[in-house]
Amino acid sequence: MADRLPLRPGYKHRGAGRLGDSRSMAGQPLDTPSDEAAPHWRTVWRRFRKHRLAVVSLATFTLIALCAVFADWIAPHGATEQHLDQILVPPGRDFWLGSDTLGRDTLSRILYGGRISLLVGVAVSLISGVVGTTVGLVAGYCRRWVDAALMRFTDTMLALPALMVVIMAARVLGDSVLDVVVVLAAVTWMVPARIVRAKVLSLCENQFVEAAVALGVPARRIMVRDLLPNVVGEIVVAVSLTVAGAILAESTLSFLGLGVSAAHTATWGNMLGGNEGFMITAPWLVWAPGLAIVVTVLCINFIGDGLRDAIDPPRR
Amino acid sequence: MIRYAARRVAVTVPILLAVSFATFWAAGEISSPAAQLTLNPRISPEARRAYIASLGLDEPFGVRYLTWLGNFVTGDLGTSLVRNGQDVWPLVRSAMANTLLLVVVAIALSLAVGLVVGTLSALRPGSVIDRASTSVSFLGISIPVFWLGLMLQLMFGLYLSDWLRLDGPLLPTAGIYSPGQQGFDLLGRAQHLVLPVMALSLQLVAAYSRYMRSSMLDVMGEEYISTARAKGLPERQVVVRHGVRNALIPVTTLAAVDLGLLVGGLIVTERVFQYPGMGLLFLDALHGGDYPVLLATVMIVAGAVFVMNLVADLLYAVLDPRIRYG
Repeated sequence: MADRLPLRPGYKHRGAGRLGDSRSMAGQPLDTPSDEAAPHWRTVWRRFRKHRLAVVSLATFTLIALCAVFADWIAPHGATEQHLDQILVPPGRDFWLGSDTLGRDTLSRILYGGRISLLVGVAVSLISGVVGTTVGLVAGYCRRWVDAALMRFTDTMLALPALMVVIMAARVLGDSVLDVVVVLAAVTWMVPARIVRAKVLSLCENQFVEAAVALGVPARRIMVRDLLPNVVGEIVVAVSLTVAGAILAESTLSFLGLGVSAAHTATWGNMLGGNEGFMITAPWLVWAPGLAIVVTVLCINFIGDGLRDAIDPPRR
Repeated sequence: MIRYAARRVAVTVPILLAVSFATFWAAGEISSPAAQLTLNPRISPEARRAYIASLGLDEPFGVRYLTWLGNFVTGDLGTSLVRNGQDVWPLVRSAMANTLLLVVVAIALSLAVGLVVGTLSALRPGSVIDRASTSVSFLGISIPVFWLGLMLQLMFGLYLSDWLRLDGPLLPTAGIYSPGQQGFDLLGRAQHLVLPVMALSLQLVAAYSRYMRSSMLDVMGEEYISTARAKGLPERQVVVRHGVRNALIPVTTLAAVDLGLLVGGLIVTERVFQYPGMGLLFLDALHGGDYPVLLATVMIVAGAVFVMNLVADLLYAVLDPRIRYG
């Protein structure tokens, strides 16, 4: 590994040996963010494009997301629009994916519900990414008792039966979108925290960190300007996989009747939870939202896999 | 190692205390047994107060918590508020037995399949079996368990029996006994286990085969494998004795952790299949405001998870002598 070379921040640490170590030590100020971070992301994109499934998934996911965002234009009916004379209609010309017990169009509800499901997924992973990164950075950089205390807490949170915690917390908090996001973020920040900490611990062995400390750069600045850019890759991978987990978790909570309430809005989860009883007479009510979840989550997982291969190429 | 274990247990005690405190507080927030009495106009305020006092709910929070904790630690789990004053312990005991049966069967089956598939795909990366197992694994982590459960119910309860022109469902889709069943019936129990085990196993097989694959790839790159080959051992022996046996170590510990986690993580599967285990008991207690049962299930599950985490770490040290815990 090239970790004896004083790497400039902005460079991915492992890739640096390849990308430009010959110029990297030439008298540049150590704590200016490098404008050469861009070529690195271009490399990532080039590698990502080789992962065919990931590219197809990215396209599919973009399509799903666009459909949800532009539901107002695409959806044939409103999300709460009732046709009380057309209850439990099988898929057909009026209702492409059938209608439910209140005469609402399943397709439209999936499109509108996608907004909430995707929003929850993205919001949870962003929050848990920020919290996890902060905890990991501070623990990895400060070491000693700060590290011990933070990591003990992280490990404890990891060891708790997550679903039980989420269910009880959801019951205490409530059923708005914000409540669900907060509850899910509270049990997902530990994985990014551990990943970032491990990476920061090894980064701190590098001379650019030593140099920054010797120059008297304040700790917060070292963490944000020197360490953070070097862990972005890991964070991106962890966060992208969290989106998938969060969408699954939201649907599970809603299925149990503890997620975003159907009284507020449709989500893929609460469409399933509310219609379980009509599974035999109206199977489309469970098929359709379930497939929406599976396809979306599958796409996100493939994208995450492609990102991992592109950012941190397997050595074999 | 004994000192290590003792220290871990010593650290776990305050954590479990914190969990119990949080759960106790949450249980009080979620529901009060007196809530529905308040709504009933025919119950006088005096009667309500007497009922609350009989449950000890008029005491301050700290006193109530310490009383409960004292009773719990000495083995008195209290009585259910909803199920006609039944003792909590027998409820928990039978739920625990049902859950353990389900978890052990599912883990054993998934381990068997996952280990074989993982080993085969590690020996030939990029082969048909490797690619097939990768696809199945991605499906396994992308399908919500409850939806998989519903689909299995539809498939085996309805579609397949229609297709095969059977009178009833091919497999029972809920509970653990058929309606009208008297006494113990081994075949019936086994049939009722099939669908829940299938729903659980997809995820587990996905995890174990991926884990075994990467562990096996690591091991096969080690120098002792080259040494074994250089000694002229037949490839089969190299793979099984030197490869698989060492690759098993991390997977075994993963399975041990799962055993603990699944005791609580079965909530969804048990709910879908109405399987009377810890998860269903927990949900019923939560929705019914039955906090003695709720507290008991949460504490036992949390305890099981911590114990199994410790077992996993110790197992690691026993299986791999290179690891020493100070």
